[in-house]
Amino acid sequence: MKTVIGISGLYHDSAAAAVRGNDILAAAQEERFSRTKHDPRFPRLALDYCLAQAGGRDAVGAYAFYEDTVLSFDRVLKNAIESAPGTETIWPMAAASQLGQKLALPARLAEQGAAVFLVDHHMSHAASAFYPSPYADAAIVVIDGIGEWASSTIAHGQDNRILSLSQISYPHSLGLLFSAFTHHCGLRVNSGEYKLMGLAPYGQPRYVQRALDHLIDLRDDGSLRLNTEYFGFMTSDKMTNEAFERLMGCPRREPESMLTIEYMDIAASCQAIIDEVVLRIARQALKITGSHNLCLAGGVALNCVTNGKLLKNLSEMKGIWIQPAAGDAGGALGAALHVAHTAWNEPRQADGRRDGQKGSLLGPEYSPEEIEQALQAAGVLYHRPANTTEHVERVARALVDGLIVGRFDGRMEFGPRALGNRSIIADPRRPDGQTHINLRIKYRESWRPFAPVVLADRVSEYFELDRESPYMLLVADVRENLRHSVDWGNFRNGDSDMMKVLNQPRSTLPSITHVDYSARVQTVDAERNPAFHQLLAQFDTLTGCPVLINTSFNQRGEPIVCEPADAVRCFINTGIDLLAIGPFLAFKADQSAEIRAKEGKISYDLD
Amino acid sequence: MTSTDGAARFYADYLLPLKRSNDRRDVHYFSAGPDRTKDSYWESPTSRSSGIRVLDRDGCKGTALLDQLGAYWTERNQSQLTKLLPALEEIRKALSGNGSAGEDSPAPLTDFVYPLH
Repeated sequence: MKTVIGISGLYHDSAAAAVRGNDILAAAQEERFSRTKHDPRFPRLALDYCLAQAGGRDAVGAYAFYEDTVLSFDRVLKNAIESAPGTETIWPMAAASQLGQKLALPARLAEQGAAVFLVDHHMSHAASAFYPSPYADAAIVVIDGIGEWASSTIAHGQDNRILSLSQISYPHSLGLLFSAFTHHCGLRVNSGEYKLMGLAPYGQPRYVQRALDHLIDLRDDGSLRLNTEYFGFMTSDKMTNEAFERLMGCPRREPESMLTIEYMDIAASCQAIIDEVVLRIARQALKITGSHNLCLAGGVALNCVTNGKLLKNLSEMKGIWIQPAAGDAGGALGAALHVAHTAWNEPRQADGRRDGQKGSLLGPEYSPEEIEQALQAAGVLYHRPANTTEHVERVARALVDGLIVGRFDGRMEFGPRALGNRSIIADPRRPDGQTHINLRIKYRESWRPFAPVVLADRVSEYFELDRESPYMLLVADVRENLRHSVDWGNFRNGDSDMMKVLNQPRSTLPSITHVDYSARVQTVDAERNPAFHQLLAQFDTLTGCPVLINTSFNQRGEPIVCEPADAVRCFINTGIDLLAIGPFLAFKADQSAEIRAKEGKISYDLD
Repeated sequence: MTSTDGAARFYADYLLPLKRSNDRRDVHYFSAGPDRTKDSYWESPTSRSSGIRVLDRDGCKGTALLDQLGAYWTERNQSQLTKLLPALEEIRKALSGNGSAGEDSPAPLTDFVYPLH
């Protein structure tokens, strides 16, 4: 059986994936290897990794690119014509990108000596959501900025086939609307959307009606059109224009400047609109497919607040499965799966229970020898506990003692979230935990909450969630009996100091509870990640609390660590107290003055 | 002449005249705003191939891909666009010849210019 290699790239978050039959062999984003965040370049290093996992080039039967480059250029050119003469400045850049890079890509893949497939962008996303899901039959919803022409797609997955049913077309796009609000709030498009979601609970959605009256015509069936007079993306390198600023009543926020109540309210309004539109689209998808299961992908599917709302409000939905790499990186995986199942007719195994994503632990892993080499090369003092049990006990004890732990173990995660193997973990009960980690490790805005990771069979004790959430893609409220009241004081009347709200313990697990009592829940089970499950269980044994903080192992602006040297560097450069890397442990307190003096010396461009 | 010059010249010599012609004939490639006469904005999927297309080795070349685009336009009676193909091929050749936009170079665009990617 031959392997299919999937490729995404030349826009943002390029990636490669390897699939054989129904089995996902490997998948990784280029940024992890190149150390350039959201690296858009051809994923040469990720491809090398996937080829090695597949057994070399001779094992490859086909390469699949996640987009029909011909139709993408059709849209780019028609946009340039339709919006002329405003596109005069951007056209040469578009030509370079499209004619110089994208149209050259298939020939580059053909040089590898196997068949080349182009899979439509939204079909790639749909495939990434449906094929690894546990369902034999599901409605599929894809929502992102833009594919070739589609910005939202409803499809129907049955066994090993996907049928695309309907779409909303460029320039009308919920993803672009999301990005426009993100841009207006001074956050970075294509990565800041996640921060905007975290900002929303501080505000009130008072701009919703204004947006519905002017920016977006939303229909009951979830279809929509934007009023493009308010947007800049068709003719410039800006998402919004002066008309948008006038409508919002405030200019675009300068990045990194103070967040005022206006921008918090805009964030809340954006979130409310996203919630409503996705709910309507999902309902429409379930209705026209007649299915009771829903699969989601596309960048908007990373909005775990909205996903949580779907769970609460779609009574007709029995199951939901969201591709963990829902953004463009996941298109590499979907393109490969679509070739395997559709072109090669490989059967699926959908038992209605377990997915085929393997916990999204699809990236590289490193041997103890490779890890030890990295520790020695950096001059870090470390030791190796006698066995796994002792290792786990030492780490759990360190967490109880309030230490911040960098955990590096096994295969790296595929997708934007760290799920335990490249994670920074800590005790969530510490009242100042959120600020502490943000300032000492992440060097980022401290208003963003951390995610909790909880033993799967205990999730309902702590969160209003009745199912697993292994990929941190569902937001649920902290149980009412665990909450503490929050004094908002004069927050909306002149004193919009987020820290005053943030520093109040909002529950018995303050570090993972957002100001609206929500949390981005990740569940851990012994089947998907036994080692991480064992650590969490040990922490529970010591404390009676089966919950930890889980945040990605990196500092702001840096891709999540990939290889041991990345983890060691991040350990040295930040306030991580303990590096638990493979079978080794390195305590910061044990390090030489020379090593400790290196903390904070490396900085990255802010994202 | 650089490839950027070529693209700029294409814009002036071909793209703007076509835009003016389209305006005169009321030809539009997409709608710019809401349409109260429509009950729904859901449309049939835009695809050349039900979502997946295999290319033979020659079909992977840039020239062949532009030819495929021409065929797509012809099928849709967008013959005005097919007249752009020779000039687009010239730009493509210039871009692939001078290596200014090789696949391994960082993208020259800001990362949120959706219509360009």
